[in-house]
Amino acid sequence: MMTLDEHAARSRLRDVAPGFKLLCALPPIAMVLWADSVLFSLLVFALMSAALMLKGGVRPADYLRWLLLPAGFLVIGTGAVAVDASASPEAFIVSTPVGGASIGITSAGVAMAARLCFRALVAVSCLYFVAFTTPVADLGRAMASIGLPPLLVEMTLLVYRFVFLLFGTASEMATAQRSRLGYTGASSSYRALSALASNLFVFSARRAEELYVAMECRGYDGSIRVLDPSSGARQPSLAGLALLEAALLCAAIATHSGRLF
Amino acid sequence: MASPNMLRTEALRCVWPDCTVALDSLDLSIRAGEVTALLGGNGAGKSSLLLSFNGILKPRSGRVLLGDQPLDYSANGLKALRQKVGIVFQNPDAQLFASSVYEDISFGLCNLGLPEPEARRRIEAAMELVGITALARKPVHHLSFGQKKRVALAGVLAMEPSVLLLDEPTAGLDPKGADEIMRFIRELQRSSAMTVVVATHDIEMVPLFCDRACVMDRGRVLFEGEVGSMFEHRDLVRQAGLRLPRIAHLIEILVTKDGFDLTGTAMTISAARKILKSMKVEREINDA
Repeated sequence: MMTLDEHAARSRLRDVAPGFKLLCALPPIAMVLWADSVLFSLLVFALMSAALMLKGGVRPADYLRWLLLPAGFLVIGTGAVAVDASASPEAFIVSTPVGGASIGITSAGVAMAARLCFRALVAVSCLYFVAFTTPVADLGRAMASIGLPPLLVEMTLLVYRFVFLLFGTASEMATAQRSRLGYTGASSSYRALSALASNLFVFSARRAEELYVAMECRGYDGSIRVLDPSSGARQPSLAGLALLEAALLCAAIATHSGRLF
Repeated sequence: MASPNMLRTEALRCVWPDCTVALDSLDLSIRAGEVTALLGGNGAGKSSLLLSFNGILKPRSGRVLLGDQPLDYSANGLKALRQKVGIVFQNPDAQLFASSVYEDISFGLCNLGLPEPEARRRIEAAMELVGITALARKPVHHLSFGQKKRVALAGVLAMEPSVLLLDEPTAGLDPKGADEIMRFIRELQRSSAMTVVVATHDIEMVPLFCDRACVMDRGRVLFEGEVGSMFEHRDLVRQAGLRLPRIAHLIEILVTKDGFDLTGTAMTISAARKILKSMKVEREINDA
């Protein structure tokens, strides 16, 4: 499976200004959370998914696989919401008596679980819209351009760069341990894991020092200054976006007040 | 330049924090406009010498001179030094830190305080030079090892140094990649009269791409001179835990063990070919 990072790097929407993409994805999340309607949730979900697959060029199979990751988690998590306990068994669709009371599923509980599940799923799809189309470096630049402190942005981008290095090293070390019969039982797993963690720490400290020297060699003086690739980011019309958001808002209000369900 | 020596060390002694002596009373001159190979086994002090040329490693005693001036270790002095002397490290993952190729190459230029259009021009030129223009917007962790090496090189070349220090530029590359990068460095040095110092134990590429060689062992210089004269000083080369290029070794065995009477010595295939051809011509004359 391709990582989200690779998807973002080759997305057809990569060149669209990151601020624009955030404006596309974030307000609908707020509307969905507020409207709390399955129909409206489905509408936004369909919009986001269509935009991602038709405009962004993500293959449906890939998208579905990525959706399944949180979906399993969601179903288990929201399933618990449908379960209720009461003294009278009449309120339940299905129930089992436990002591004097009974535990079971109510129709109100099912409706609530469904609404919750869909809201969460839509939030995921909106965030996927950003994650599938926007490389982290672009997000960092967007963070800097709206005036977040440079230290925060620098740290984010450095962490982003070195997480991959750390992950690569950790998996190489784990493979080497496995080839020498690490992780075969509970006690050897604990031992191998602790050795891995301490080695990784030493590795990181040494890598940090090497990096500092290398940066000094290129004239580092305490603040990281770089130039963005002049990507010629496309800035689609804000008016169109505002119109779309307004239409969505109307739909949200309509479904929320129950006139359109 | 008044002096033909670009970089010089005088009785240079450097000691690491853990008290191991990295360089010991080292006297060496690097000639301007030439490619000098620093040869030595692991731990011979090659990388330490490169770091002291760049002002990262400060001498315990002795000194380093750039041109005729001793290095100035003040903040401004170091800034000026690193503008003139660029270093490319062995492991590109220790050098590349930015989230995209373009940004990483721009880092040194931003530190030089260049105006943006000039910086962008230089970035484009450096990427063009090492052939990574298509990778400009890629995150560094999506690149192959060879591509990372090129990006690291571009990041230093963009600063347009007059001295380029390369630590194991061919290590970890396949034969084709290693050959390409050395060929490229040779061309660059010829076209821009850059001074290049290559620390390596890739002995085969030395006669092909370098003018001078310096053999180091345990922080000292055993031999320094023309690459061609390495053959006469092969004992010193071996003392440093190195060997001659295979071709030179073959020639040596043919002469010392098999009683061949060869005209001259050879370190490369083309030189050996010349010797063999002249033998063939000689025999044809004798036969006739």
